[in-house]
Amino acid sequence: MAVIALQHRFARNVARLSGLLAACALPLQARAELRVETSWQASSVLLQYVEFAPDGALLVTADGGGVGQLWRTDGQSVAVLKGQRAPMFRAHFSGDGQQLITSGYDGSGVVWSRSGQRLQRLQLHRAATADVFLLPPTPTATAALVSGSDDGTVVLRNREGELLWSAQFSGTTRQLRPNPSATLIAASSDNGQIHLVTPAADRRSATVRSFQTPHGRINLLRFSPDQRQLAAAGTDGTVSLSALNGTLQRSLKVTDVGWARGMSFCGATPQASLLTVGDDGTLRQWSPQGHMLASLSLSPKVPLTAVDCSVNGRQAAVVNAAGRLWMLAVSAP
Amino acid sequence: MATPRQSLWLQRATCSMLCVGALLPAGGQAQPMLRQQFRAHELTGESIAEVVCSDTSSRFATVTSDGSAKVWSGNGTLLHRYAPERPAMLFNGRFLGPDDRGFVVAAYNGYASLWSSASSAPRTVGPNLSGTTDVQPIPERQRLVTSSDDGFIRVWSADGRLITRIAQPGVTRHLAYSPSLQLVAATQDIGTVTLLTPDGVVQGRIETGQGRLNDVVFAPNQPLLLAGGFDGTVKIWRLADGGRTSTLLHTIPAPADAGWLEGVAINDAGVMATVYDDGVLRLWTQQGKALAQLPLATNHLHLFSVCFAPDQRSLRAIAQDGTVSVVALPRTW
Repeated sequence: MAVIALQHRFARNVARLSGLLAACALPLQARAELRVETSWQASSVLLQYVEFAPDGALLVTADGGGVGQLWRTDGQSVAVLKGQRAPMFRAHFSGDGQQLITSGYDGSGVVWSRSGQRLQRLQLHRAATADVFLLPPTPTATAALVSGSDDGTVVLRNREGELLWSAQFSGTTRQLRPNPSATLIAASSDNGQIHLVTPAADRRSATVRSFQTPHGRINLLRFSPDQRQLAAAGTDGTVSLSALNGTLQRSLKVTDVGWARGMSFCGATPQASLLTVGDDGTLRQWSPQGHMLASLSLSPKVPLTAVDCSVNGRQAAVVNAAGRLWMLAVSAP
Repeated sequence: MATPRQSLWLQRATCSMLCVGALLPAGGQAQPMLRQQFRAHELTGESIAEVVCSDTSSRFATVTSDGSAKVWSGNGTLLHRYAPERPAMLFNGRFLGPDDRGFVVAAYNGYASLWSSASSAPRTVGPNLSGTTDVQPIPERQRLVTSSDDGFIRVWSADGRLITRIAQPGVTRHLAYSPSLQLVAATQDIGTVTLLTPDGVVQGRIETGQGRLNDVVFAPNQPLLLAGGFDGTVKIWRLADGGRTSTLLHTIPAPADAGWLEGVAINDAGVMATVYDDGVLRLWTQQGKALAQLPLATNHLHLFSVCFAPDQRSLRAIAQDGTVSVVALPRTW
C-alpha cells in the first residue's frame, strides 16, 4: 500500500513539474488555441459550405435548401441568395471579393454582387452543378469561370457563358479549386481521382494530369499556402496532402467516425496550421508536420460540414449539418 | 385561344384531386381515379423519394432520404420497415426473392444493404467509392448490379463479391432490368443509357440528348426502353439485336412549366405515366397522345416517382413530402 502511495505522489510531482515547465514555455511560444467567439443558427437545414470574403468582413453560406446567405462576422444577415434548385453545394467569392458565384442543382451558376444583388444566371450544365468558381482576367484572357458537374465534366467559360474548354471524366466532378492566379485548377472525381488542369494563355485549351488519391469521393480540395501541395478531404475519414506530381506526402485521420468533410489553411505562410472537420463534430488543428495541436468538439452528434479560415488566419468559420455556424478565434504556435 | 384539348386540360388542372374521378372528357370516356392518399414518410424540404411496385403482388415499397424503406400492402398497411445498420440517406430500393420476402436498398454512404427476409439482419454489399445511386437484383443469376456517383456500374455476386466494374462518364444514376431481354439499362448524367448483359458486358449505348436522366424503365411486354430527362421529355426506343441496336420511336414533349420529368412508368397496354416537378401525374399513349392529368401534389411539391402494380391498372406515385397516391386507371383503357 505504501509503495502505491509513493507511486501516486511521484506521479503527482511529475505532473506538477510538467505543468510548471509548460507554463515557463508559454511566453516563448504561443499555445495553439481554438476559442468560440460567437455562434448562430444560419439555416434551418444542412449547411453545405462557408467561406470568408477575402477582406474577412463577410461570410457566405450555402445550404441544402438551395439558399445562400451573406453574413457579417457578428452574425448579422446581409442578403439572402435564392432562386436556384436545391441543394446549393458551393458559394465562392471572386478573388477581389466584389462578386460571388453560387452553384445550382439545376445546372446553373448565379453571379451575385457583394451586396447580394443578382447579376447573372448561366446555364452551365445539363446536370447538377457541383462546384463553380469565378476566375480573374489575365494579361491574355478575359475573366472566366470554371465549373464541375454530375455530368462528369470540367468546363471553362468566359463570363458571357461561351464555352472555352471542357473535359469529361468518370462519375461526378464534385470539387474544384483554382490557385489564386488561376493558372492551375484542381478538380476531383468521385472515384478519388484528382485532375490538375493547366489552362492555356487564352483559356481555350488546357492540359490535364490526373492522379489517384487514397480517398473515394473527395469532399473538398485546397492548395497549400505555398501552392506546392494539394489537400483533399475524403469519405475515408482522412485529409491527404499530396505534391502536385501526385506523390502522397501526408495522411491525417481527422475524424473518429464517417467522412472528412473539409479543411482550411490558417495563414499564408508555409507554417500555417491546418483546420479540419468531419462527421464526428470535432474541429481539429494540425501543424504542417502533421501533429495535432488542438481540438474542439463543437457538435458531437452532428457532422461538421465545412471550415474556412480568414485570410489573416486568426478567425475561422465552421458550419454543421444542422445549420449552425460558429466563429472562432484561432492561434497557433 | 385554347384548343379543345387545352380547354379540357385546363378544366382538369383547376379541379381538386377529389373530383378527379368525376372528370369526363368531351367524349364521355372514363378517367383515372385517385383511390387513396397517405403520408408514408414525414419528409421536409429537399428530399429523395422513390416508390417501387412489386412484380408479383399488390405490395409496394417507398424508399426515401429519411434513411428508411417501407413495404406497404396494396391497401396502404405498413408491412415492414427496413433501415441499414449505418444510417444513410437512401436513393432507391428493390424487392428481392420469391414472394418479395427480401429487400435491397442503395445508400448515400456507398453501400447497398440487403435483407434476405424481413426478419433477417442486413448484409452490406460494397463499397462503391461514392454514394450508391441504385441497386438492381438479377434474380436468375443470383447477382446484384449497383450504380454510383463514382461513375462505375458494378456487378456483384450474391455473397457480395465484386465480379466486374464498368467505368462510365458522368454519374450513373438509375438502373432497370428486363428479364425477357436479359438487359440492364443504366443512365448517365451526360444523357446516355448504357445497355449491359447481366454479366456486365456492354451491348450498346444510346445518346438520348436529354441531359441528366431521371428515370429509365423497360416496357413489360415489348422490347421498348423509356428514358425521362432533365429537359422534361420522355424518349421511347425500340431495342433489337440484344441491345446493340436502338431506334427512337417517339418523343413525348415536355409539358409547359412542368419542370424536370422525375419518373416514368409504362404498363402492358402501352399506357405511359409520367410525374414532374409540378406535382402533376400525366398519362399518355406510348405514341405520345395525352390521355389525362391529375394534380397529386400541392404547395409546389414535386412528384418524384411512379410505378404500375402488376394488375397494370393501378398506379402508385410518391411526392417530395413522402405522400403516396394510389390511382386506378379505367378498365376501358
